Amino acid sequence: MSYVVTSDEERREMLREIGVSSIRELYKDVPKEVFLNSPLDIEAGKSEFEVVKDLRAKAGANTIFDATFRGAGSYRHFIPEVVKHLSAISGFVTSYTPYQAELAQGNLQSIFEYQTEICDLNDLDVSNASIYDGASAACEAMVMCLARNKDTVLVSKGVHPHYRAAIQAYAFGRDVDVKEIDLVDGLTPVDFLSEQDLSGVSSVIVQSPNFYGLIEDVETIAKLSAKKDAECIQIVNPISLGLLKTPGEMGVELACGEAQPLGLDQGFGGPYLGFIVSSKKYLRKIPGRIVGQTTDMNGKPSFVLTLQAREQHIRREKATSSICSNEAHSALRCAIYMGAMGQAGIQEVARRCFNNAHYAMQRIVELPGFSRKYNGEFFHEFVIRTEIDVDTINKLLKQNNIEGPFKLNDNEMLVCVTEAVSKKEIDAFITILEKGAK
Amino acid sequence: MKKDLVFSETHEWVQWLSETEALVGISNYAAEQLGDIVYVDIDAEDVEVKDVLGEIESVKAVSNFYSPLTGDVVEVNQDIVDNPALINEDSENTWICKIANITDQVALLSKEDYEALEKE
Amino acid sequence: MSLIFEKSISKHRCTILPKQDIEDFQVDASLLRKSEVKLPEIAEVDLVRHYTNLSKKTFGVDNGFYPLGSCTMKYNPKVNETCASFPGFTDISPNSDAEDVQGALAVIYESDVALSEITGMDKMIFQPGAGAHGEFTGLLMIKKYHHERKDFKRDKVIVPDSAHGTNPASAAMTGFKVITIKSKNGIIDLDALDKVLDDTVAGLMLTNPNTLGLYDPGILEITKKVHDCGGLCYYDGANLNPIMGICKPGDMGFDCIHLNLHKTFSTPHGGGGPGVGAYGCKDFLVDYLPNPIVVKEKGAYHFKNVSHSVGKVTAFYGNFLILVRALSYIKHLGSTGLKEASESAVLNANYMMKKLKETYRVAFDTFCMHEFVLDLTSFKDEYGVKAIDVCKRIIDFEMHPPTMYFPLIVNEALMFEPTETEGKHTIDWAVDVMLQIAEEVKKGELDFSKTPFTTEIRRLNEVEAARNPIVKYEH
Repeated sequence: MSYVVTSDEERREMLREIGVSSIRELYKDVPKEVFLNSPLDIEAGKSEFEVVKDLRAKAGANTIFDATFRGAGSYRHFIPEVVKHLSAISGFVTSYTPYQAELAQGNLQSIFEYQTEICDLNDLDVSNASIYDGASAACEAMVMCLARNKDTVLVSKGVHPHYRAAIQAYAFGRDVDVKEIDLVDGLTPVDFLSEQDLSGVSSVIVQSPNFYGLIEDVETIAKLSAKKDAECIQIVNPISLGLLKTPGEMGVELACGEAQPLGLDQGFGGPYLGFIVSSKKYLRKIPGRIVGQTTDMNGKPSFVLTLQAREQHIRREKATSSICSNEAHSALRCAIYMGAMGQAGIQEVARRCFNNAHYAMQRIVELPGFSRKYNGEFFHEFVIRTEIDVDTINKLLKQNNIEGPFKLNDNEMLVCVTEAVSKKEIDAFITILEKGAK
Repeated sequence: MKKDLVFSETHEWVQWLSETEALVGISNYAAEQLGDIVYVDIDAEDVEVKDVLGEIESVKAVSNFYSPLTGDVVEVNQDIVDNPALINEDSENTWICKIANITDQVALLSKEDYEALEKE
Repeated sequence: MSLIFEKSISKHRCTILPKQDIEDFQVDASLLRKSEVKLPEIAEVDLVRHYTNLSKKTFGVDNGFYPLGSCTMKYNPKVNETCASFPGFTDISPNSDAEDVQGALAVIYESDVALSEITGMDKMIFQPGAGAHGEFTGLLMIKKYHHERKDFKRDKVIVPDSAHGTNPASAAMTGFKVITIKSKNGIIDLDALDKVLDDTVAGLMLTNPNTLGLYDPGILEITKKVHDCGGLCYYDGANLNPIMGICKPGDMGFDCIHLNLHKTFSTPHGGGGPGVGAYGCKDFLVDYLPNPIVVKEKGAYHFKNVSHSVGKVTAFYGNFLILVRALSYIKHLGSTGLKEASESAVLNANYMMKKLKETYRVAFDTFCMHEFVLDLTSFKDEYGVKAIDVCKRIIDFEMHPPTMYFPLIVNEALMFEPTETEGKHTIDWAVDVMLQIAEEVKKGELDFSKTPFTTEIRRLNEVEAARNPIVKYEH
């Protein structure tokens, strides 16, 4: 079954109308050397019932843990049911990019609201309508800052390793030199920046909270970078902004990150949502679609995709980015999440993440054989040194259907605790660690 | 007395202020092709002939603004930065930037010769 | 309709979190946010009404005919949605151990095998976020391939003038100079190609059939010429819909490809995304793929890193939940169904084109593949009615307009792609709409510059939106 609608009779009629006796005639320009004479070597089509059975079995072969202490770039948070329900409405799911604004005020308004919410969360002025994910957002932010004599980029090693791998890929594309900054006690050393000659450096990319969960001194890094005419780009977890100082408050003019924590399923890595948000200075350089407010010919307030002259379909090889399809539906879902959690809810989630993680850390370091690596303040992730190897710990936890921390190496693990983990679950986790230590 | 405009084949005009200084803008034809201009971005400082002075953006297109002269960009018309619509209103009376220390130029045609070229 | 912020009422909220059971820990004041978190304050019923009412102002494939050329707006099967919503897929972390996610790895692996077969490639990955991102990945790999062979002088990529804007943009993102060659009769001009081929060419980016809906019969010669000068051939798979089970890009001489799973493989467009830019390549390029790839060894699935990876283009494995939808579609259709879909796409497009050709001028009067282009220059010249005016009038009939002003090589272009999931009855109806509009244009009684006439919001002031952009709400 291929969702083809026409009956055999109708197809014959259509062929007659066109003036051919078979569909094969319509493929006259396909060279005979490439025209396939046997069917594709893939399984015959299954009925809907069988497809569901097949994929349900595959889904069943994945473990859904009761509790998880693993983050490292993808996080489990409570997602209100209303988020899944509203984002599944067919008009949102099956519509195309809102190029025809008169038909798509619903899509355009929801994106405009998303843009506003991301700006407000970050205390900045311009957001785009989405980019693929946090890693590509960091890369696109880096590209925005490149200039004629500035083709070097400084990247802190506190940035997620996958993001750094993506930055290397984009840098290779643009012949940009990437210099990584070594950490001191898990943090980006600010003296390094004040000592460095930053001429030729277009941006300094730092993540806060960083990959090890630590809160960086972004305010100082931003000041030092600005002094030397380099842009400080902050990669930030948007949930943390329910509690922590925002990029805007710290003098950062270009921020980006992964919005998956804002109501998107962990979904084995995607679809996620990259956001880029900036001060007005980057309005005409920010990549991707942007929705603007305007009026129609009768003066009615309305929304439209604007500043399209930045994009690939107009600028082609002069565009700073090739992005066309984005993560619009994820942005919608995040906007619904931000509406569902609201002002109070986001602050509560951030607060709970902070509390839960600090409680867990406090309890872990009381156990013999476990200690905290790094001393800085953290948000909801922290690194623990362990005498028993991490694989053994995680095996024990798995037996209790708990997903253990992210393994950094045999004796160090990155522990994450969000609001989705209860005190009871943290205590059970501690009990298992304690048993394991014996 | 206001000097007459002379035109390049790539649709810029030059108005000489002295032997080494001139104002530059775009022709009616170019402005019409672009449509409603929304943004002008002149970021070059010193240019040679045919270098890109900057970009002119409309809703549906973006165009390079090529320099018909070799020299230094000493001033950008702030009026058109604030209100790019002025270029559409009267492109041949609206200058975009001033170039000084001019040492070279492209072939520049009189208005009649330029318009004859457009008709082809 | 008012914005959600305008509906906010102090202290209103949806109550979500369970009771707090851990005491507050002290946070250093210097780390705390001082600014207000200006997110909405709204109760659940009001939130639901807000978004439900917004959804009424959208137009999806589920609402009506959507013949957007180049976008393949085919029906989005609901069985795909069921499969993509299984908690076993939605609730797993990409950082889970391979042994705990064998089902997810099976999805990636089986999709790889099926799509490799469909396209004639040796390996497929799904990390790129969309087609343009797939192009970027492909060009990065081509660059790396040449660099690894110490061939650093290849700094050019060739694209035809009919190419989608993402092609030259992706080439620029990878540091290549773009050489555009003029098409001849809508397809590649072999003489023009010869003139630009030399040992500074890294590769050619081509889609076949192209953006005019034409299949280039010279394809084997084209790819051979590029290979002979040492370049690689990249296939833009946006137009795969008419050729599944008919021919394969791998057989046409292409070394690497991307596919738009949100086009050909029925995953929904979601208002602009997310999609999947599936990327595939022949064996000799596998070592350059973004890490990690999924392999099957000793009956189990594993992640594996390749030796000369270009790095990563997104953090994890791509838009996995979208891939699930594509795999569900592939399994449902199977080999016969995919071929039937392609053939019907071509039948529908040719049928629609035939019925419009008397009244509208087709850009190229030959059989098309899955899409065709009309040239409305005569409407503009004789009646002062532009392609955009006709498109906006189409909206009054509750049909989504076709793609307008693309490809750039046709003036006043309208590109139609009905797809295979439309019935003859729908196409006949759409043709009647187009014929009626043509009549209206000729009669000259309606002011087409003011179309659409019946929508709540009429023609928007895009100039003002671009001159003085307002991109967020000011509280």
